[in-house]
Amino acid sequence: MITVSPIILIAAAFSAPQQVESAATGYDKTYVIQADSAWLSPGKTISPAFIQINSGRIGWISTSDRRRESTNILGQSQGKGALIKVKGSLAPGIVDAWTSFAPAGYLSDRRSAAARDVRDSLPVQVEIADYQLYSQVIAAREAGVAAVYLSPGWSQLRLGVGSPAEFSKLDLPLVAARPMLDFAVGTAAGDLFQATYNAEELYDAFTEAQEWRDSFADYDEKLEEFPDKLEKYQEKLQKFIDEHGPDAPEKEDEGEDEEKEAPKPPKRPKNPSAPKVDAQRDLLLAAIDGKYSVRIQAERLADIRTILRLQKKFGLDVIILGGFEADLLADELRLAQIPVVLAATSSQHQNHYPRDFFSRYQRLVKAGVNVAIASGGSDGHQMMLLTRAGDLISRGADPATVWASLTSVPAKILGMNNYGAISRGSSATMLLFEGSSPFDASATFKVHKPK
Amino acid sequence: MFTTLSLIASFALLPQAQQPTTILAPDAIIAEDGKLLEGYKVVVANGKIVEVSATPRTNGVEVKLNGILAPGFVDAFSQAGAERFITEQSAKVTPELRAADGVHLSDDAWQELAKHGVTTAHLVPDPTNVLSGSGALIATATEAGVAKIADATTVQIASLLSSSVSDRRVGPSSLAGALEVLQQSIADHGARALGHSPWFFVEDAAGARGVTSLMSDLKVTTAKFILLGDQGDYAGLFANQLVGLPAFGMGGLARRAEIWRRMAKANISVAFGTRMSSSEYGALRSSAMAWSRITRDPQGAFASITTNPAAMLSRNDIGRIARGSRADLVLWSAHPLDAQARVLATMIAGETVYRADVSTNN
Repeated sequence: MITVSPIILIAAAFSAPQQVESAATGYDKTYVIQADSAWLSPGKTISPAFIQINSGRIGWISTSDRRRESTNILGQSQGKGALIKVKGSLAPGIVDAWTSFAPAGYLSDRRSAAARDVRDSLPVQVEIADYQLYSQVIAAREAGVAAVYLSPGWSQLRLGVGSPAEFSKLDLPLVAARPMLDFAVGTAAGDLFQATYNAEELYDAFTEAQEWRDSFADYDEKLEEFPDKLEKYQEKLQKFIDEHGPDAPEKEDEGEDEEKEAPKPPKRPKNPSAPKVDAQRDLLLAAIDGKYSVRIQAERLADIRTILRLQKKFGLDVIILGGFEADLLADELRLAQIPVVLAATSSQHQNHYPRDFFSRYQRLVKAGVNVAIASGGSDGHQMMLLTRAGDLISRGADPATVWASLTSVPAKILGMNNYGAISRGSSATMLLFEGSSPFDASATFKVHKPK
Repeated sequence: MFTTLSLIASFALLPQAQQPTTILAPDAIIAEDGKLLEGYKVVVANGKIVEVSATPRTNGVEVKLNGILAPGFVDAFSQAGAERFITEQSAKVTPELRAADGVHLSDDAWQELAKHGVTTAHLVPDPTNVLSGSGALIATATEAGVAKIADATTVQIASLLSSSVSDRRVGPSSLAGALEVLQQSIADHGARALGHSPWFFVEDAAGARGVTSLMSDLKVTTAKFILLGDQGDYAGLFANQLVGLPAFGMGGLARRAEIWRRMAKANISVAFGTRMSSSEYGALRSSAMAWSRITRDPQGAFASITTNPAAMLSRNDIGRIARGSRADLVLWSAHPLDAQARVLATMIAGETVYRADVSTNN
């Protein structure tokens, strides 16, 4: 661990980017925690650690007590504020970038998966408003998780819109960053997921959406030309009326009584018809326009290759989930700046060398790919995150890199700038461990929930 | 952290069978309460631990070990190494069936378990019959590379699971019927039907109460219970007792965490078994880590895979580093409940059965 001087630390903390506040979390207390040490971010630690918490966010961070006496309007001393002394070390909460949490309302939604949006079903902030979701949040907190991605759930090709979420004082999720568009393609390697669509279909869906939008250009052109066409038509019509209408001068009989066809009036040009609107297509177009990141669960090489093609053609902001064979395309993924979220599920761990979790993780990381470790949409695996991650270290992975895969990397992937590190403005949901590290279960491990 | 060279040196010096008395001097040992004791040495002779002390009085060859010496893990109820489920489905009761007869001692799983720190597995018949047969205690490895039966007949396994009581082909078709069959078996075979300390697989309060009542009538006080199903519905019946619990598996974290926390509050001690839960070789250790995090009881967590399963089996010679115990010892790079720790070497009955290859991280 690198030790950082308090002066640098405070300067860095004050230069941190302004955080985007989410909906009210309900935390409202101000206090300071004094711990033996704190892991600020991967590889950076301070000892001792004084951390001020203000309404669920971190205020200042220091190696000394920076509390100041405050006074009221009469100049009377109000003391220094609360100081909570704890034994052990603090670390930022884990960010689980791939969960199966979904609100009850979402699960009972009868609309097609592709049209659903997790945010539409989030419970109101009332105590135990959604019991299952509430208990899932409680359990995730106990496992050290501070923020999650609420997935639209298991389904077929199109999964709809999910959202990064943080936890409120009432242990319910709140939207915490930009929503994302979820897809799942191909077959997962020995996992629960057995969809058989391949990535080509997804590629075609985006291509069709783009073509549909291109067809709007034709429509606009036709719309522009339409008044001229109408004017010409009206001229022709007038001419026709003049020549053949009831007031038209009678024509002399040209002699022979031959049967002649009745003159036909000119045809009226049709109004240009607008391309049909489709909500699902609109989501794809929004992703092409950069309004949504696109999360795709893809395991096999062929599917991941197609995703690379998809990303290149449309300039999408892509995240790969699962990625059982992503390591085989590690260099391409790095160049395309596509991060990978690996699942810490049992099935992913039971594979043997060279397809074991450690080998795949190392190949991706060494190639420079941003890798997050997540519970993988399996309820219960939040509790395994630290165990799986610790196992990577026991086999030789770099501890700071592994820690980043649980914290700062998934936070960045989800666009949650105020998670994944202990810094000014970041979430005060933190781990408190008494062992050698958060991976050590031989000593007490707690989670600090802000007050 | 240790250097590679010192590790290799340590492995090379681990005692072999022909060495009569060896004094193992690790950085620390793990005591029965799961805490680290630095400076303690473990004296091993004839496959057993003969002394545990900071200053041993026994003479022998001292071997410095870089790492933490822990007792080998004990799987309370396992199906490892059996090609198929050990069961005889044509009868309602099969008390004479022996799990020992269905074990494949050369199965690769045993060696993998030894690599993951598991030195003893209690192989049980599939609990599909009211009386399923007797379990067997397996030492997961020997120097010869195969497992060894340490005890061919441990306890009688009985089942009140719906999966067996609802089997229409052989019956019984209800819990009441299963209890009746159990009673009849006892009437037919006497005490022999249950053995000394029977284990009952149960999955609900009705089954647990039925067995408890029956055992009370028979004045059997040594019965043990394996709690399957949704323990939240009935685990409260076992306050202040030791029970078997399936290892941590997939799904239902929220409820499981709540149940485990309440079990710990009710002073229920657990012994983890991998049967019907996880086929991962590291499942026992992962379960103990999860128990530690959920209940905030690291000592209880360590006991759940060492002394508690031994106590379930009424054995004091496995699962602990203590005088008289079998020398089932595992050298770890850190505390075994630290996920960063790895097994450096495994010894069973005084024989070194596994040494890690530090050059490959495997």
